[in-house]
Amino acid sequence: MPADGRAILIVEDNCVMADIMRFNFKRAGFDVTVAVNGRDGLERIRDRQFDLIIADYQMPRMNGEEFCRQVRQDERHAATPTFLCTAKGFELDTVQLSQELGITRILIKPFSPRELVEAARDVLAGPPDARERCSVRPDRSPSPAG
Amino acid sequence: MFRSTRPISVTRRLIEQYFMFGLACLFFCVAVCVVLAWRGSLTSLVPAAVVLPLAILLVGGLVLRRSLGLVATIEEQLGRIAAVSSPVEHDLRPIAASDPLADGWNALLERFAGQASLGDLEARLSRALGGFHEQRFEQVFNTLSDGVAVTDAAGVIRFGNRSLAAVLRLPGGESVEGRDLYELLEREGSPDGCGERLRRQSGPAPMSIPCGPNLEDGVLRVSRAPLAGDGAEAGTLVWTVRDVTQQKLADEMRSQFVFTATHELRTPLANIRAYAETLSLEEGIDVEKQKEFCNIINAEATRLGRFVDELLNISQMEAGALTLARHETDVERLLSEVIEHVQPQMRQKGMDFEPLLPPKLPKLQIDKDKVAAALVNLLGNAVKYTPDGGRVRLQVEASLEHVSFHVEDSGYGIAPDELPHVFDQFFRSGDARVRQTTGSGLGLAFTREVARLHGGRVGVHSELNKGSKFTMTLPVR
Repeated sequence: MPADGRAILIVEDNCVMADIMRFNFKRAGFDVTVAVNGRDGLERIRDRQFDLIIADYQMPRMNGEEFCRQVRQDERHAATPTFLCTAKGFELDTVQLSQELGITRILIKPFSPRELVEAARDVLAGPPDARERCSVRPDRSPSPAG
Repeated sequence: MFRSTRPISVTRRLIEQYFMFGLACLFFCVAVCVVLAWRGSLTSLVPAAVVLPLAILLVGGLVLRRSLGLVATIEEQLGRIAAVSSPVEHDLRPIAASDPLADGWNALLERFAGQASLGDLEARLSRALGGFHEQRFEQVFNTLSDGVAVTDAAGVIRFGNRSLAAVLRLPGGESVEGRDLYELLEREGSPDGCGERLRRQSGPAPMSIPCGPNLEDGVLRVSRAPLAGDGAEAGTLVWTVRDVTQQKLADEMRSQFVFTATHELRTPLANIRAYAETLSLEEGIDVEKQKEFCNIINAEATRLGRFVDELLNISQMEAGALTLARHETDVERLLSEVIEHVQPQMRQKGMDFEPLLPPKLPKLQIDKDKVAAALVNLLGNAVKYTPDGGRVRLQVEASLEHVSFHVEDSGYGIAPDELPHVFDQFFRSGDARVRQTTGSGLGLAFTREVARLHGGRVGVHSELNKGSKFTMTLPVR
């Protein structure tokens, strides 16, 4: 399914991971913007509207949790679907985080880039309700759906 | 028991018996004389027969009394000894006479006096030793790092060692004796009335008492036991109060380390998986890009391997089994590898890096990998705990005996109370700026261990908000 140039913001301090995510999303037809940390991400959303935000949890200066909290305070992005990626799956209360910050999906590293792209497509293709509050799946299996 | 009947002295008994025997003899003589006089003979001798034996008897009595004086004196003194439980020296007097009995008595007195002075010496020694033991115990208690207190039944401190006031964090010089220990424990900032809870409980009640809302504020471990033995009043308790803040922090750091290690393992693994899967599933990727991805996978696998090596080093260090594989090492090459390792982070933070190396550096017999890891730790910390745009300097000094590596930064610095602990395993500063970054709390412990195994040492000078200078010195062999 083509992505029709839907705008995605990737907030990831690990440039190696950010590059491969950008590569896969671009090949899938998305318009990709990369920010290197939470503060940089906030700068980006101030300038433009994104259809999907994918943020890493552990980042210097401003981590993913604080970033998502601030994103929700921005009227334009209060309901933007948001994925949170983390290598700390077992240590975080993913259910509470999802409910509190309206996270659409939490992805546990390592994850499959193809399945991440598929998940992004699903979320953006779904009905508006689903886009606002998709089911939370703190996935720990080796091949999570996104 | 013997004194219940009135005692009759031996001397008196002898004299009485002498007189009774003498009078009997006199009576017999008088009777013989009277019989003879009645028959008509010896009439003129009757008065002489009475007077003469009587005179002899009296003289004999006097002589006997005089010769028994010595015995009487001894008897009198023995009687005095028997009358009191512990005779004192002046009760007994030597006898001034040249007589075997007197000599024997005097010798006995001398021996007795000797024993009395020994007893006195023993008593004095015992008193001195008692005081000595008390002082020694007090000294021993004062050298303990744990607080030790003895309280009465009401909880009032009767004895407190020197550490107690420090552990309870009382202002300098404040005495603890005479104060209520339960109240002092309450004052410690325990949020839920720990002191009162202890007062109500019985038994040893080992309890951890937090001194504030954060772990860094301090944690005390309190335990107690009743004092038993002679002279101990009922309800007397011996307390030990231990500051377990560092132990609790280390426990927390240990858990934090597991989280950090998990993150450090998952990050390269996530990259490897993402790139490998992209290469295998995506079609039409140009050759250059494929090569780039393969290089990234290679680099991430190397990073993962290095981290596993670090984990092994740490686990060896924890088990006390860290060993060295010494080889002749070119220090210049070693330093260039170390610098190469940390330079990307420095560039990323826009830091000013200044290596100051002498023109010629000796070759060292060292474990190159471990020394490199130790130096990477020092430089890595300098980068990590210095704000963007700060300065890091690596200065190397070489003498005939030593090579010293100084790593100086313009970073956050270390608070004086934390400085003695920076090389401890799992120690991490309580500084919020440090807490924001990830760290195992093992890097500096590893560095110190590597220096120690090489016969060298590490040191640190630091000033809060100005920067730190770490030095590792290795001997030239």
